[in-house]
Amino acid sequence: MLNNLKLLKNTHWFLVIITYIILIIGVLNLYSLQLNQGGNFYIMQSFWVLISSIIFILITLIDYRLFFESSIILYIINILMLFAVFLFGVTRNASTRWLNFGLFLYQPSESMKLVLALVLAAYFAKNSKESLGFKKLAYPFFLTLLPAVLIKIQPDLGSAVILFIEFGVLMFFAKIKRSVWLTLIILFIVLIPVMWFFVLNDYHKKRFDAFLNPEKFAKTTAYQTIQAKFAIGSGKTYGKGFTKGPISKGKFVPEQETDFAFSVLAEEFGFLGSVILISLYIIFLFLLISILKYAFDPFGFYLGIIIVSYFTFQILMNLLMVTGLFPVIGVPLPFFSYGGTNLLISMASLGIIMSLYIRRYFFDYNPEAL
Amino acid sequence: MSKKIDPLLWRSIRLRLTFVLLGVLLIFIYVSYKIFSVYFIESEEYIRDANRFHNSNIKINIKRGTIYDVNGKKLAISIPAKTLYARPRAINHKDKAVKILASFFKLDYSAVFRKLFSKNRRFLYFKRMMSEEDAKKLDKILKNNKITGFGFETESKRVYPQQRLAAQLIGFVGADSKGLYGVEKALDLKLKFKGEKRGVLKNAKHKIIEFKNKDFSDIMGVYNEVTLTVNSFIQYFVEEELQKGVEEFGVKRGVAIVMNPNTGEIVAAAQYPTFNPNKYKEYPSKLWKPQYLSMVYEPGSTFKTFSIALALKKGVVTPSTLFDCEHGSMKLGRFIIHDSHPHDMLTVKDILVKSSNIGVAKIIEKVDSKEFYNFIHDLHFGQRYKLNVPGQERGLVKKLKRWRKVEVANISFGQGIGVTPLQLISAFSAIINGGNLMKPIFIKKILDEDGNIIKENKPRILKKIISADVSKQLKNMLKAVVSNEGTAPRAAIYGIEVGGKTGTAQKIDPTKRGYSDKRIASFIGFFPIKKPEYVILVIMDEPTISSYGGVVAAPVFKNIATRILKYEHKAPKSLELDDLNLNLPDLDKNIKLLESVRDIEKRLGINKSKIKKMETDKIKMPNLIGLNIRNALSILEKNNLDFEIKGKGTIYKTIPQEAVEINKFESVKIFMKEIY
Repeated sequence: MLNNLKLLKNTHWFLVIITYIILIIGVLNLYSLQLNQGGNFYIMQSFWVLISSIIFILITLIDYRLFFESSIILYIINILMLFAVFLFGVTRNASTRWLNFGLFLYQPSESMKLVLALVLAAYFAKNSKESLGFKKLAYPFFLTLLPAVLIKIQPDLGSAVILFIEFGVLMFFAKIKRSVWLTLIILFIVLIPVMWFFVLNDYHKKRFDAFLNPEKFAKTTAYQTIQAKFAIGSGKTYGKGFTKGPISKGKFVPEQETDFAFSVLAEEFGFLGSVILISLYIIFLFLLISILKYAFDPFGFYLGIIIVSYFTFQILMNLLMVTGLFPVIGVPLPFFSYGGTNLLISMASLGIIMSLYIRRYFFDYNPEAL
Repeated sequence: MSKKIDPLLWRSIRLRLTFVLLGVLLIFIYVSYKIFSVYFIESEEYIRDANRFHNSNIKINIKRGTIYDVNGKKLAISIPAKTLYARPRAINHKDKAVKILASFFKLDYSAVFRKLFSKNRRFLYFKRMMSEEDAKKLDKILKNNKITGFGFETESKRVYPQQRLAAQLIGFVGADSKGLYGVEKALDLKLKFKGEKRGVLKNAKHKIIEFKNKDFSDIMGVYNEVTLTVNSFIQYFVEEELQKGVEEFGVKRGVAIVMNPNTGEIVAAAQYPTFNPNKYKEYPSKLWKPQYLSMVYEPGSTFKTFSIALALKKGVVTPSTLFDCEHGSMKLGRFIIHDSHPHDMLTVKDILVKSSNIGVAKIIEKVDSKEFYNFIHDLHFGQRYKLNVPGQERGLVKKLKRWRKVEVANISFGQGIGVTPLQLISAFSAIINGGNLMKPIFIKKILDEDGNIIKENKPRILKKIISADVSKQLKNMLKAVVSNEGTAPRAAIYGIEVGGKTGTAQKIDPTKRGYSDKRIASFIGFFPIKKPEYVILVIMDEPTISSYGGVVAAPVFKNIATRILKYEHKAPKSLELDDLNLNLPDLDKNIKLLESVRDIEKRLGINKSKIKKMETDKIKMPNLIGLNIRNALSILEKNNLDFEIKGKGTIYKTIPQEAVEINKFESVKIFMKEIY
């Protein structure tokens, strides 16, 4: 460990700075919201920033390759926690997602995203030499399906979808037999109607309908999106000023501390503020992708690509959702939305990327890569 | 374990990664475009929609037009009041603040605490409509204790300085200064303050969270004032005498109206029991209704006046034509008609004077029943007058085809027909004023805030009913009623010629078909005979001491008339000795009290000059037909028009109609219905 401390000088400082700028904007945003709506969001979030920063440094120091073998243990623990949610979970807004640890609430579905990334990356890395057929894919598929079902029941569709995205991304980047691809494409076409009738419940369909016809649902299902659009649209170029957003003040947008936190910023800082935040995210993602080329082993690369893709997915989905371009499926904006576990896992994931980056000189640079 | 990545795989990965990156980039471009469009292209629309959701205008209750009586005495005024509001999150010493408020308003500590802090609200009205003295005291206490988070707001409060006087006629306003009853309701659109509204910020639950402009001394707007035809002094006499009569004769309720028969103006309209509009919530709601407009009763013998008037008009009888009154009992088909006192041969005049049912039934037999029906119709029975006062009933007149012989006989002496006090007094006025049915008037004029007349209700003849000659004959007959031979000697005033007619009607028992033993006794009288100036109708519902109009209603008439005569200094010398004192009320007492410090407007903090008169530009009424409320409101807001909505759904009618010229800030009525 102490030996590893020297490695810290290799840290990607630019990425760290960008991340912390987003974090600070997020906390200030919550401060504005708290001032107007009450609650203790920003103090809690500051506390979580502190905790997750420590986790970030610790994980950076740990060689990510340690997770290659231990990932399955973490996976089992996390699955047990997901079962525990059913038994002693805390319910909020009609979904049971949290475990109460006294001081704080823990959301196992958030950590599952990272843990699944570890097991999947490990499995695909082990089998990176050969082209995978159905038999070989059944095991990772089951690894994904089990937590996804558990999370979907909570219900938390957003998180369940992310787990499948992780699996899909690995399928895309791993060596897969052609026959598998063909079968999947056919299955996909068949499965869409099945999904519509059996997996999605009325409330999801309604949201989908609301997404297509927001005016029809202005006061019910699409209320959140429309109000969020009001918040964004009324901000104009420079916004209404810090802590001055009347829509945020009036509690018009539900979930404004978590999934819809962007709308507060958009109202108070206008187009300029929004563009700055989005640019920060684009830089952030670009830096992550650029780190991928330093991956020297399949495990590192697969892990990196999953982490990058779920960050990308969350950021894009959140922005699409808040701007009414995608149905509301409850995806937070990483580093920006209120939520302890999400922040913790985002920072841990970043830690893994950083752990990979600071060890880039251990191996020869691979000029073939990228 | 740390095996390197297969170079061949890398190449393929690179290709796939580029592919994915391109996709992600495209989505980012799309999101950015969408946000750009939300901000700049659709922005206007969102800002407008957002404003509609979050910004709201509340009408400020800064002033409401005064209601005056015919002498200019104030019947309803606006006085300044303070409202204590709290911003709970800004309160520095919570415990201390709660203690102070609890002791000041004599409330529970926990109740105050709950009101302030339980819902985590940003803004709330703690106490509305405090007196200015109380507000000053509390403000001082709060300042001395250095407590923040509280403030006062000026509002205006409606006060009825004459308390119960003409309560049903004036009506009252509700919590948000909206007229709910009486003239306050009928002329709500005129009386209320029409002008700039005050911007507020509302939250998702439509609760006010902030005022945009704290100062409203420069607010611009207009309002109207109203002068009624009521004379407060006479109203006061009527109420006092009616109450005395009701209490003396054990009556369930009493109603009295005084009308000027020559103009149709209502001089007084009273009922007892009554209520105090300043505390209307403490009284049962049935007392709020104006009985003189809404009570439908069988008029009994007072109605004989009209039957005989018709017979005289048609020339089928003269006052001296003789009729056999069958000694008090006459068979008519299956029915038997009774007289309360048996008579044999009576002249038409005596039939009215002695109030013989049989006699009137025989007189009306000489007239075609269709003509009788038309005459009743011409006298406006069974119809509402076009009045701008709410609560008017239509009465009950059976359809002509259902008029059998016995119905005609019954109606001729006032049974089997339902009338309102207003209908009766108006029709009776037509009989004695020379034959002209006048339109009843409650509202004399409507003024603007500078006192200029906007609208004046001038006397209007609705119909010529009978000739002046017939009227004169009837007056003389009615004079004889108030004599020792007649049914109402107790209405006689020594030294003054008065006329009138008693009435006693059985009440229909609502539980079983047919009449109960309960009675409505009434008296309608007028004076002076030659040129009548006042008609007074007194109705006593369910008297217990006696059931005759001549006994329970006539004395009330006499007392009211005596006091009117004294008030007008027309009382003959003989009346000066009467023990009935004029007892003029001091109508300005309460107002002086309310205005004691300075002028009301000054206390309101709004000098007349500060309430600037709006430039009332003429605009054309926009076409709203077929719109939903949302679209209509945005058009109305744009045109600075006030509005009142009836129904819901789609607009199918507006008053005024499209393209009619109206003033800015004027109120329009929108009628809506569901058309799907």
